[in-house]
Amino acid sequence: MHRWFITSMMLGMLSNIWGMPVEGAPVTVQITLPADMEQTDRPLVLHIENLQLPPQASGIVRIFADLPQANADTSTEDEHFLGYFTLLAKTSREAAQGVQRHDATLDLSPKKQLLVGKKALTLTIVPLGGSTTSPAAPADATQGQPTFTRVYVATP
Amino acid sequence: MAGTSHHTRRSFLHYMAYFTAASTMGVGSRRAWSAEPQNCAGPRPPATPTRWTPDTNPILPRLPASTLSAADVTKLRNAYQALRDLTTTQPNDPRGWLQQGDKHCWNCGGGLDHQAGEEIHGSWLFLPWHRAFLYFHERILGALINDKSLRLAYWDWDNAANRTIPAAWTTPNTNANALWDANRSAVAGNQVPNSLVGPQIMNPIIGASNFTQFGGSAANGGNLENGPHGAVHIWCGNTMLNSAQADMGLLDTAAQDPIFFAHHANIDRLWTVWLQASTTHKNPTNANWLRHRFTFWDERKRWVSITVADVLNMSNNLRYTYGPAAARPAFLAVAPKALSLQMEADKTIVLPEAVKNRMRAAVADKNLTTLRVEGVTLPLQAKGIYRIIANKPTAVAAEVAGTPNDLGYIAIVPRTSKDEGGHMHGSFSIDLDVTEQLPKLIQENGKLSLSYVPITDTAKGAPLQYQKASLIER
Repeated sequence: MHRWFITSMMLGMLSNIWGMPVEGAPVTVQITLPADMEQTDRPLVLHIENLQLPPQASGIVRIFADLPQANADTSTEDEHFLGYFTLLAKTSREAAQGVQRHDATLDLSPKKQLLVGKKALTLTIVPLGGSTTSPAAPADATQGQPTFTRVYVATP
Repeated sequence: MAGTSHHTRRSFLHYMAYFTAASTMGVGSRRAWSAEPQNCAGPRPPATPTRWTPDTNPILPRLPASTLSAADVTKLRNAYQALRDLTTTQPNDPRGWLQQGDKHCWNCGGGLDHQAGEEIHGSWLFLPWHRAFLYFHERILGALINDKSLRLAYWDWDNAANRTIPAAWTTPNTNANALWDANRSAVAGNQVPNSLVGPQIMNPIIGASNFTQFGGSAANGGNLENGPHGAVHIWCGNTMLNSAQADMGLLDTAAQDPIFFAHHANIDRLWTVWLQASTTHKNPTNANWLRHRFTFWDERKRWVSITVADVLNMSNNLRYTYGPAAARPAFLAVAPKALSLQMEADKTIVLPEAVKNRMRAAVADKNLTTLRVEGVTLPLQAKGIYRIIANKPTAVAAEVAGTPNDLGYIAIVPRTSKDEGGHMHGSFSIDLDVTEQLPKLIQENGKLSLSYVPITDTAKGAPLQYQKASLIER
């Protein structure tokens, strides 16, 4: 099967970056959930810091929980689908290099019911589109995969 | 102007950079005539803007694009043609079509040279800035055809019946149609996918409990901006969703496509829908937000400043509403209305045929449905998280978690570590979103019993004690 995924274990709210030289492969990370999640009515927000999408990605990013085999073909009707967010490219040049944002967020509050009772979560980040062939991509860009510096869930 | 390319009217020296970029990307000849700006600063404004004041134009509704009459479409096309013509005849006129596109570019990160004005995406400025942008755009369109009654139309893609890109913007697909855009991927008959704007996406957005979630904060964009807003942009630029493409899919070219304004009118309308969806939905009261000033060129080519507070009252100040009144979005097609449910002596809810029919209709329409349980009492020693279970009165939590019988949960939080009994000593109400569970509930022999069970151990459930239950369909 031409699909790879990686898991970066997190302590607290810290995650590591792992790059994979596989076109179109999503990235899977394991994160801890806030200890007070079940005792609060505050929103539950996923943060992905310094997220950079693959070159020429569409800007739509889907997030799945506990489904490490999720990819762009996985149905959004799947019960593991947590939602999507978008990162709009400012220019064609930015799209060609891969859009980068300091803090990409997804409100998980509507799916909180699915997370009750869990202390940790396996998240699969699935960018739609993207290419490994763009000459505009930085030389050190991972091929076809999103990169980031930190993933965590907070109750702001 | 029929038969004349919009794109040949563009300033090629100003926009040649895109040709190079497009060639590098290998995106094909369709892009060769595109107009991605190198620099989108626009005409130099005076040092001090004029303070904006409301006009006395009639208060008129912006209509759904799907309901426009032939006369409405003609008026809108004439206005956009005049806007395009202004770019040809007076390229430096700040009101022209390309200058309007550049205004958006300037406040969205800038063009290829990265020179930019204030960034209004990714924060709570997103909604009010775009409301003001559309207001001045609307005034300019009306002035160009000398018609103060012109109002923008909105493309209500959140309504399943109107998910197809509006025909007036796609047909005819030639330069004779000033609403058409050669760089738009979406063509006649294409529909925005349910996965991007369907009820499962829209219901939580309209249900967002506060403005930070819905519309953003000083530091982050809200769910509407980060979700369907961006998704429809990307889809219009590339319906395959496998890359970001001009015009709509890139921020520096997005407002060159007239569908931008129909799309953003809908975003603006959804702001009002959110405010109307609950009495607890409020705009921020933070003075930094309310006093924040934006600057635009108005229909008389004056450089004016307008505050966030100015744009909040759109009917009184900006002279438009959203209509017709009956055109509520599909996911709010039925006004919130409680339907009391009959109960037998043991608190089993009886579902009469009429109720079941209504629930089936709600399922078919994918309406948001809430089961409200009032007068709930729990034993004083109860604390922690409890699942509310339908029709499995003795199940343990692990047996029903994630199944249609699992209606949600409640948290009984002790006030202190010594508070043995939690703090819900009186009765209380629970609102449970049962939209996804409705099909299963309907099949449970026409009856519905409620129980509660602690989520963390193997204790069996117990009947939930309450006074009244009702269904609220929105």
